[in-house]
Amino acid sequence: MIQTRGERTFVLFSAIMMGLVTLAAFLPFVLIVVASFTKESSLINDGYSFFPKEFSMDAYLYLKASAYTFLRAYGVSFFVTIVGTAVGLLITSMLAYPMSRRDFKYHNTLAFVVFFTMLFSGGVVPSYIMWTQYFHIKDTLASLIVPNLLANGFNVLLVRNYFKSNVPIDLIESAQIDGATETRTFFRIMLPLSVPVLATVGLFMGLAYWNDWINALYYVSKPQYYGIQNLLVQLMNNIQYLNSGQAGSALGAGSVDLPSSAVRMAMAVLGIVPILVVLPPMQKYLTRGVVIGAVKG
Amino acid sequence: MRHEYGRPSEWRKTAPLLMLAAPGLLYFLINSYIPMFGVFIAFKDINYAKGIFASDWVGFDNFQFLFKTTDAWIMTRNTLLYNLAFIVLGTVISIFIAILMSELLRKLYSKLFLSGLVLPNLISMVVLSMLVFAFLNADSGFVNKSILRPLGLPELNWYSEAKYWPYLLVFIQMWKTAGYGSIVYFASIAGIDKSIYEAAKIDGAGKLRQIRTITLPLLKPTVIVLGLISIGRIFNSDFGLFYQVPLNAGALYSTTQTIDTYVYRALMQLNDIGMSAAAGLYQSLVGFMLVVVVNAIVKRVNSENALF
Amino acid sequence: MNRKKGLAALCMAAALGGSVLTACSGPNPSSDGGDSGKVEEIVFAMPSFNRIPDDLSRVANAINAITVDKIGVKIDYRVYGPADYAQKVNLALQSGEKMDIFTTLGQFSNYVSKNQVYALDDLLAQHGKEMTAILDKDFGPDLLKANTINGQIYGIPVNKGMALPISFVYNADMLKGAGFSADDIESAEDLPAVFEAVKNANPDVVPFGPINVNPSDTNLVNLLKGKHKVDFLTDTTGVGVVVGDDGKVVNFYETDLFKNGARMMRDWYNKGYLQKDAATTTITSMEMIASGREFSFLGGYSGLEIGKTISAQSGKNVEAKRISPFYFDTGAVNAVSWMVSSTSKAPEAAVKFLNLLYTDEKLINTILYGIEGEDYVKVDEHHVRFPDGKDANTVPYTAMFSTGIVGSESLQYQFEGVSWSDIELKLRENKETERSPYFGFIFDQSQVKTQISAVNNVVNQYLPGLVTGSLDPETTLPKFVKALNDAGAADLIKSKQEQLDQWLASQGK
Repeated sequence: MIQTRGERTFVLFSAIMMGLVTLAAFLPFVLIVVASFTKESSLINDGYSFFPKEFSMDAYLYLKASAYTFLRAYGVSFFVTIVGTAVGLLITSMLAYPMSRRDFKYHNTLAFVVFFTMLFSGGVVPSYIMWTQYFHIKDTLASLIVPNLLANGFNVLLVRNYFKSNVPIDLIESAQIDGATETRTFFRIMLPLSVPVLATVGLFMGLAYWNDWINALYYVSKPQYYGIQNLLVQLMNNIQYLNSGQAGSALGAGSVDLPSSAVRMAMAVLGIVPILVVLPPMQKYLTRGVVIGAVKG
Repeated sequence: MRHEYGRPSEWRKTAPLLMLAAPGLLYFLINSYIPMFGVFIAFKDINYAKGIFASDWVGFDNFQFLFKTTDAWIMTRNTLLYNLAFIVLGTVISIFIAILMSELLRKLYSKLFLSGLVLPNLISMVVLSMLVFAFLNADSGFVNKSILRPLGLPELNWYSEAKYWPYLLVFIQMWKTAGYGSIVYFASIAGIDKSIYEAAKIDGAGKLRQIRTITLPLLKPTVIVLGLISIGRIFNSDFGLFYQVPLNAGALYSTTQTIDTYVYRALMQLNDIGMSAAAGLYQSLVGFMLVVVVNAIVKRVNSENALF
Repeated sequence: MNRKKGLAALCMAAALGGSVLTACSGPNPSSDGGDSGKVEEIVFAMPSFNRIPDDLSRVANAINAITVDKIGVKIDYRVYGPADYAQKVNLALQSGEKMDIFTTLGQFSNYVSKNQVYALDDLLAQHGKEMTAILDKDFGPDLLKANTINGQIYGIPVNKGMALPISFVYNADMLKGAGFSADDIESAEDLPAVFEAVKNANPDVVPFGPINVNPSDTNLVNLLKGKHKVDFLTDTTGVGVVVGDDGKVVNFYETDLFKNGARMMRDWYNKGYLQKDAATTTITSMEMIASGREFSFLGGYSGLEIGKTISAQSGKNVEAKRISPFYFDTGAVNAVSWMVSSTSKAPEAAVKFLNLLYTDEKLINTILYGIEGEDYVKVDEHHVRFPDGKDANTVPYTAMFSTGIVGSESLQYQFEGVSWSDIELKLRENKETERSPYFGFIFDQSQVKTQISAVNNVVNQYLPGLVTGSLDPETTLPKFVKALNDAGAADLIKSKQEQLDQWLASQGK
């Protein structure tokens, strides 16, 4: 490929800009990681710093007591994220496909039906009554997967939009003239041609599952179903209570000095690092451009 | 309809498509539409002895607290203006990042870029508010201690001056969401047929012209859909951003109070589901009406791009 | 996707519009005698600030061994963390799920005005005699007045040291270093001189800080309440209070009392005794003290052991000195109350259990500390400690931080190191602390919900700035009061005055 001078300037400009963007994204996180290894008193006296005066593992030692609970919570979170994302992605794209077909009689009706769910909600109580009293999902893994997160209007509309603007209609027509059914067209043509958007929506869903603690708050009363975020939220709240000073009168003598700011930072690290491990390999799906000309033949 | 294949019967064509849509529709029906009956709670004075259904109707009483306050104007203005800024700036910055990123990725390979885009979005508002405080607090904050003081500039009291916060909040929101938002555009760009660019190049089009004449027009449908979605939520706001990040500082209310923070502060002690349902319904209705109007306008200009 | 199941469920859900929600409501006059043979099961939701173990069955079994044997009631024991508790219990109550016994999560009167709780009078007379006896003994015969609305008792306050006089909590080494002793501190007026000396001796140390953050609270309001006998009349906004015994409901923030208090704080703030960001800091005084960066704060504590506790917690030599008495208004007593849900199918069993919860030493301590030998070991009659090699995080079960939440403190074991005489002191102070003449008045907010919500918002906006001195009262107070009046403070005060007058008339005062 020949590069013109204009192109080279452009690439240079892009590289500098993106360098800055990436730096802006990573630096605060680095600060969090460093803070989680900083001695609590140093955090309070000297403030947050990339080069703290005193390092300490106290925050992680405090969390070590719950190591087993952490491992299990990671397990729950991974399971819920994987299953939820897989099922959700399937349902979402299956729904988006007919909506993307301009020759489908109800495509606009469906779009409206889906969009409407993004605006109005009946609130927590009616949902709770329905899920617990009619579907009996309380204290099951399903309660972490099914309510609210399985599909949402935003993702459906994203996929529909991609189908609509990036997959040419003649491609679908020619397949169907060859006798392909709708199901076959969907799985054999739409999905393979839409890897970038599926990866995007999969990423959004996966993050939503990973970061969710609301479902467990509503539908789970047994700690063994707690995912990592619930564990973190709970630990955080306990620390906040213990440090509030109001707790004093209720405390026994054996209490300890809690590295509270550092622990919060450590917990943020524990919640984020698994995602950072998983993301780089996923990246290639997002960027897998499609040469439609080749498919068209 | 432009394309019709033989049409043996309308049903034979729509049925298979409906089948594909069925699981998703069923899910929305159960998860979203059935509980929507709950909106009637907004018009009830809930009395648990009578049960939710038999409680007394109170008309629009539950809505009053949203308007009978001197903050009504401030919180509505703030919510609207911040959302407008977020929509416009967010779209521009996200597309900018997406275009640069996709250009670069054709040239060099970095395993980190996706992490970079997603990372700010992963930091919770509570942790973020602690970081922001570490930067801005008056006594030992990074900005005062390490930037303004050495430069001999007057130190600023960030948490008591409302005027700084529109900029701060927009900046923080962009930092947190722009990268994440660019992923959508990024996927759209990846899905553009490369042969179009090749053809343009042969015609002698430079990079900027390719972007202007190919990339941007092809991103337009995505921009419109995302824009409409945001307009539907224009009366809503990210509670964490407006409550936790300014640390609930009273002096900042004039620029940080939004409808959501007001509802939270107002109902903290009352714990009244009727009133909170009323607030939610009000926000949804305004968003809904706006979307219907804007969508109609879009439809008039180009029916292809309309949301529904 | 399982469509068949989905459809079936859908049909059922359609019934939602009809009978479902009403089916799970309404007070249930208990029909079963509950005397012999039949074991009834009730749900008991307990807040715990400790790590919640995965498997509660061991402790639940131990609890049931006691309750089934003594009262023929089986307990479905639920333990929730502080953040989950309100959410989970409220959802259960709102959705009509089984939930029999729970504790106050918001304001007591809200539960009553929404008919969420069961009136206990008749059942108490029948099944709660031992409980009322111990409440009389530990607090005084007037305790249940704090939970009585329209002549009906709706809840039982936790039985503990209720008097929380404001203590000045300080780093003792710094006090000594500044050339002062505890004897020099008698009231808040003595503090500025101490702060000044501490500040001079330790320029990097913040002399004084807010006990709670987000929103920041220096306990100024509680200090004024105790010192000047202010009754907040059960709602926490402070807009409708009575000062002293004149029976006149006024806006606390319009009084000279509050103005002077805010001026004092402003003075402290201006002299640099508080951090510039005291109103918005994210770091609590406890953390600041532990890191050696702060000298003192004000806290409300029962008993006299708090200095010792905080020393252990912070690793610094911390002492506490009381500087203001306590004043019992209704809200101070019913803040933590146990209630029976109005949807309970077995209110009798619930009251029997409540009775045991306040009177059975073994039950209380099983709930708090678990099983002897496994979760704790006894040191002497009143004291326990963790088994060797265990601490609060590694022991299989403990809810030791919930001592102030459940049961009767006089029957609870104390942790090793806590002096037993402190418990006796707390009980004595329960009886000796002055009651407000309006003790027992409970404000029904339901008529002024709109005003309360707007007022809450205004208080949130101005109060943290005023109690930390970061806002100047001379310019801010008039704005604050005006905003309160715009938000409907007058309606609130009027409604409160009417209710108070009625209440006084009904009391024959």
